[in-house]
Amino acid sequence: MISVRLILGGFGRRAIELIVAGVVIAVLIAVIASAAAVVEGARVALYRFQQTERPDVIHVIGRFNRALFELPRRGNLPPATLPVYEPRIEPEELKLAGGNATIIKRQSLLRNVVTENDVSNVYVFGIDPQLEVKASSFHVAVGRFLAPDDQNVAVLDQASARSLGVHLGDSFKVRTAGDTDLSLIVVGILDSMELHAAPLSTVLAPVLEPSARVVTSGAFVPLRTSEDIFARSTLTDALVVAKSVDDVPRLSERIRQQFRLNTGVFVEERYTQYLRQVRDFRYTLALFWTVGVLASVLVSAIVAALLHDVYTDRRCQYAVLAAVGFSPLHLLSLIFAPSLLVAALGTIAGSLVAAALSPVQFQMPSLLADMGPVTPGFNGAVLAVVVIVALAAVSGGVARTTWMMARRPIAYSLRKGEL
Amino acid sequence: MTGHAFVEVNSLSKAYRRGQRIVPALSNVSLQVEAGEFVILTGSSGAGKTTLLNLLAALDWPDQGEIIVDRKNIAHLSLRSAASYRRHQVGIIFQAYNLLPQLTAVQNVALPMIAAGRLDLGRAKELLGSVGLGDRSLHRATELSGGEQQRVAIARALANDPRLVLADEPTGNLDEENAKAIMRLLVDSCKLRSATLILATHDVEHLQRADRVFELRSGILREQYNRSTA
Repeated sequence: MISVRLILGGFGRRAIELIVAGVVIAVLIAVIASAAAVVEGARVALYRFQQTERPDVIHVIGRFNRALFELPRRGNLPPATLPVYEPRIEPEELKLAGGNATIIKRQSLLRNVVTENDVSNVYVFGIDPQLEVKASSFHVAVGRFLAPDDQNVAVLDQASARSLGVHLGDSFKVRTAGDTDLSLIVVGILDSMELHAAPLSTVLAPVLEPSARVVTSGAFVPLRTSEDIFARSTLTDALVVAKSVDDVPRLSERIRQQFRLNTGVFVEERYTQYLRQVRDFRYTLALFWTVGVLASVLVSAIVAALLHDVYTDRRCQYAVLAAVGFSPLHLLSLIFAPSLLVAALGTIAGSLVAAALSPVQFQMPSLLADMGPVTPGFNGAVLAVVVIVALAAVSGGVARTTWMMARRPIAYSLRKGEL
Repeated sequence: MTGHAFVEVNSLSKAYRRGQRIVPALSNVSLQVEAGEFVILTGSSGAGKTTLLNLLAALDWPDQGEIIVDRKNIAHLSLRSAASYRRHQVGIIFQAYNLLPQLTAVQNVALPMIAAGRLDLGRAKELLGSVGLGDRSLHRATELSGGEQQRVAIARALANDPRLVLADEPTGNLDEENAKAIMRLLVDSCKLRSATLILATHDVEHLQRADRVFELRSGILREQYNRSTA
């Protein structure tokens, strides 16, 4: 009871200023929490966009060539001219140009797969299973995904498996460059997949997503198996993942230089377009932050001034407590307690107002709209920001009194003050 | 005096800065007080009485000299040690009472006990009873008269059984009748507890009860009266 009165009692008319300080903190926190939540939501949108666009990935790709073709092995079907990438990328050259970037190698090819009664086009992708998942996603419905030491096995999507009439554990044959059949055992079946920088869908082949313009199905085999099928180690395409997004221009230029004599190799990146799209977004975020910081400084100064007046009047009380033997720590806790209480109540009230009044979702203007809707996010970072702002505001008000009690003689505060 | 006085002040000096001017408050003051003695410091306003008491209470720091209380130099204690010294060794009575207005009389008396971590409201009430305010213990400080407030302040000063009581013009704000009663109460309470009392006053009425009387004039201390040699 005495402690409560020591903390909350004896403010006199200054109690009104204490309450006003609390209300100002609540308003400040409502503004800051809303701004921080919007910034957090925008950051999430930006991250989501970055994950989709992958501006850190450079696509090195062999020429898309219609000259190559495959012949059906049975029936009366005419020879078909089929578009495929040419395997023109030397892995060693790419490694030289890539430096410390991660290189995800690929050999993609279209093969006529012969079954008992039919022949069908199936995309066969030779991939490095460990690295490919850094850029693409695969959801295995049955069985497992490829392992690094696998050989002559395949993982198929459901559409391809249906088309080939195979199930988990079955095998199917693929014609190799040496004109022999290579039997692949199905170790897993995918129910969904998203292949980063997938080839354009230009021929009749099984599809998982009918409306997609790119290939959405295929048989995935380890790179060494695809090398057996292709009878060469050169790549049809590869993804070079830069350590940092900012490295992309330099890295892509290095790759272009490396392959400048190979006219069949192209280097594509989304960084430049991404940069254009996010520039507005970043400016808007920076503006939000600047306004938030300026508002915080301004309102914190008001809170600090209000609390300073409150504490100036109260300084003599603390001096009396020091004179009767209260320890510095005990005194410090009594000095800070009213401010912390006001800060806590203001923070809670302001946060509730912000949470209640902030829109659930909204669209950012102009180019930013491309990044999808922004959902304000109230998370740990927002909480940390509002707590820091509230503490900074009240600390400013308490600082002078704390300094006086610590550095000036107690007698000085007793002499100057009035209870 | 022996070499082991309870309070020993040696060559103490203190000056205040007033703008560009340095105003000396105490100049080379030396003083020895035995345990249980009642010493009065007299002198006109601004003579340095309050400054000397503040230094004895470790509420201020001297410019030079030493203050030895119970064989310990308290002249430049850390904040923590000074608080401990005030908590356990000293009771302070101010001219302006300095009671906290939001607390009742008994709560004000209990403050030094809270500081010492041994709150005993029963004992605080006893102390209030001993200063004649047993029936006013639940009144707020603002509801008490000046004399009553000073009685509460005396009870507060005695709450932790200090060995040294410092009183700065305790009757300065009281009428004559109240002043006499307060002085009697203060001196008797200290005698009862064998506490050393150093009292600053410019009221000559109280001088005859003191063991010794010192006069401070322009920061210089002179002994004026000594009961043992009178």
